[in-house]
Amino acid sequence: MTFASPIFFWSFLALAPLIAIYLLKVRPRRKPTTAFFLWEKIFQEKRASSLMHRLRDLLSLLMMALAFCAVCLALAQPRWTNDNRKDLLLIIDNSASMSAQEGLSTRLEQAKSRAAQIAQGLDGTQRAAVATVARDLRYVSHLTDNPRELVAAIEAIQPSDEALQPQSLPLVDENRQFTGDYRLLLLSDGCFDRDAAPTGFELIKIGQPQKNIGLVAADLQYVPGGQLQMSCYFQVASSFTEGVDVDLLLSRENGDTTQLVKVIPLSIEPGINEPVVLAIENAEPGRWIAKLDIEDPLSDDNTAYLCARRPPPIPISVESDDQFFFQQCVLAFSGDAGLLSLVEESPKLVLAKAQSSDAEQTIVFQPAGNSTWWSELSDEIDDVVPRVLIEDHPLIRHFDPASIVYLGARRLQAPPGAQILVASDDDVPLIYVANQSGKQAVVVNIDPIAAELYFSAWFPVLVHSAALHLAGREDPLLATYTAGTLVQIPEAEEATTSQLNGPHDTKTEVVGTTFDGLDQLGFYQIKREGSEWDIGCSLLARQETLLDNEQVPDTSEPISRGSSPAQWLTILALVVVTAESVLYHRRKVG
Amino acid sequence: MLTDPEFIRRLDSLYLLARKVLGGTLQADRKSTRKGTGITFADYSEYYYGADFRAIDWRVYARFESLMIKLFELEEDATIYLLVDCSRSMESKFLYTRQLAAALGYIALNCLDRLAVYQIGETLQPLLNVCRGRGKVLELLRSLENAETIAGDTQFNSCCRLFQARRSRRGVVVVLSDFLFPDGFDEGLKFLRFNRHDVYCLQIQNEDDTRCMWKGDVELACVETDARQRVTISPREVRLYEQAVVEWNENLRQACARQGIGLASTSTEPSFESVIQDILRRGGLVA
Repeated sequence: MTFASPIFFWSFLALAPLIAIYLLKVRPRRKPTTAFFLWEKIFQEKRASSLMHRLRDLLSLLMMALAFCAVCLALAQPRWTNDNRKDLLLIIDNSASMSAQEGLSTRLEQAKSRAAQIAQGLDGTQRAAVATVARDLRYVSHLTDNPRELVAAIEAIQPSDEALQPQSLPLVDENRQFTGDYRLLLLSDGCFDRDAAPTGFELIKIGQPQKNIGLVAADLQYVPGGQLQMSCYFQVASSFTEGVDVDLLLSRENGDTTQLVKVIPLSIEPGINEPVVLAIENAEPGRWIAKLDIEDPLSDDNTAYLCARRPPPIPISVESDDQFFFQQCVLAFSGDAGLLSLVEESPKLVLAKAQSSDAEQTIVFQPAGNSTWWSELSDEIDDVVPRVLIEDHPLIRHFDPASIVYLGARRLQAPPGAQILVASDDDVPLIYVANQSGKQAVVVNIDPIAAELYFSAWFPVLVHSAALHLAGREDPLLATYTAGTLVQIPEAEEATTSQLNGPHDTKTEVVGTTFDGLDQLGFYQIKREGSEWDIGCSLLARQETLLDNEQVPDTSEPISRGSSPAQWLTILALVVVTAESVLYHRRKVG
Repeated sequence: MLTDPEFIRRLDSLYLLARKVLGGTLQADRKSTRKGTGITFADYSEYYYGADFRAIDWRVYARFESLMIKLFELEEDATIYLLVDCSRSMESKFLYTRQLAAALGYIALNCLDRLAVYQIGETLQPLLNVCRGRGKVLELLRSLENAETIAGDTQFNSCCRLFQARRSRRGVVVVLSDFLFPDGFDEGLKFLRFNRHDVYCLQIQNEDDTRCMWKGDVELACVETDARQRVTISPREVRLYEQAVVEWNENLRQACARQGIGLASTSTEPSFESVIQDILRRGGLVA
């Protein structure tokens, strides 16, 4: 046995005055009596117990001393030497798989119950903190030795629709709050990639293997060139041990009603099934729901919320002496469900060569003359050696700008604030993006004829990328997102405020270009300045769907429970004091 | 103070009451159980040889043709002995006891009876030698006022023997005490009665004697002998003690009744006048 606070052994010195006080205390009051002989007769009968009477005082003193010693020892905080009690971090997995029903309760409820038992079993010398883990680690209580506080924090944990990201567990180490030794106890069903998880935690396995089927991948896109033909892609996983026939119900949400569009019979084999791609004719854009018609322990993974989008093409006109190659380039991306369309009037974007344009968005090849998009235009430069200044810019993401021969490039000065993507070795801008007075332009400082750019495969790619970039469509929304995924808000800038309407009529103001608040399954809607975008949020996680955790080992070590020696000593002191008080009470009042 | 004029006036009031109740005149004022010559009719008795002819009730003879003589209460000048318990057990009620003794002595002296006062304790000590007449009242009061409690166990029985040895003349012996004698009272009372004294017991006890107010651990100390004992008093012991006191007093009552001894018990709460008045209303110091 060791003592955490041996300094309190000095409190034993107080025993001496205690005994002195006690001896003074037990000296009885003297009472003169006129009938002493009568008292003698009365107590003559009790003489047999006089020995006990004398011993009683000693016993009382011993009991008081015992209680006092117990309190002194309790103050010294004794601990058993083999009692390896460390501070605990109880990490409760509240990912989607923990919502699987097992009997009358869910796995999360079982985990909470188990965690509450652990918290209640802690003694006052052992501290614990509670956190949840799904997409990331979230602390729900600070480090405390108060079981009630811990239990309250545990009870407040709610299930999440997110998949458990094992990489989030290392955050425990990064956010280290604990001093000294501590134990990490993960209460989970083990339905996550344990190879990707860090070591150092003990897994308290929750739940038993369950037979479950769920969608683990889904997508919905219009087929380019097709007439309202949509391609639906999905993949199913099963933890059944045998094949199961299930219908996939594909329906479209139309306002407040849902219209069943297609019933797809599936024969699902155990494990991860091969993906299925099927075409849907005459598919309207909007909200689509793919749902497996089965009742299984986990219902969240039976449904995928998909959004089919068909944005209008970007109207482009060409202003050039040799329009042919530019027009062909635009027409290559036109057609049904095309991204670009060639127009002569009211273009949104102008594709120009050797001249400037007053359009709001312009792609200019071979700068010439005066323009707001360049200045100090002078002679051509020879032997241009291009340097890519911004490697990952969306405009040059899909081609290699360094491989282009920049013949006909002229010395010029980009307008202030321009974003130069490619420049020569002597800092002449070759490809840059400029913004002025609400207008945008992509300037390509090259003579396409001299450089034979028209014959290069990069030419249409460059035009396409520049058009999408100027139109803000280089990062199109996905058909569905998994919970917790970062969503790029379309056509948004850093200061842009968008309104996000959630699945349960929740409304959130989002400022910036991204949003990571997809924490509920269902459809979201982003609204801004008359534009609306639908976003689907689905579970789509293999590990969450495959509820078979039979192979998951429970790696938890026994947890010290029960009261500490200090508490037992305190209880002993209370019992002894109570007994002595009863005795003393009798002596005091008879 | 027993010699205060105010106290003496109170005693005088008692004497006037005594005169009214007892109805005597000067000599032979005191009632007696003995029969003899007097003026107060007491009883009839058959005529016997040598009886006084004057006492024959001729009316009875005329009716029943049987000689009956009338007996009268003996009216005599008696000797009153006051035995005052001066042990330490009387400490709390000593003034009250002395007031009672003073009242009885005052009445006796004013009735021209002979009076002697003794203090009893471990031994018998005279407080006032035999005297007679109203002129001795102040001496009586002073002797009582100067009396003090004395240490030692009360030896009532030996005091009675000592008293008899000193005063063989019959008289009325009034014992003023709490009668909480370790050696008992029976033998002493029997001895007095055996020697033809008219004995009257005046028991004075207060709540300290009859009740137990303590509980828990106490060290009992005898007020007379300073003997000590550490005891734990529980409700059971309280009950036993109070029961023992009741039994003790009941034994005293039975002993007095058996031996024709008058007994009056009082606490210190009522005034001493009311106690005397009560005794007088019951016919004086008679059994």
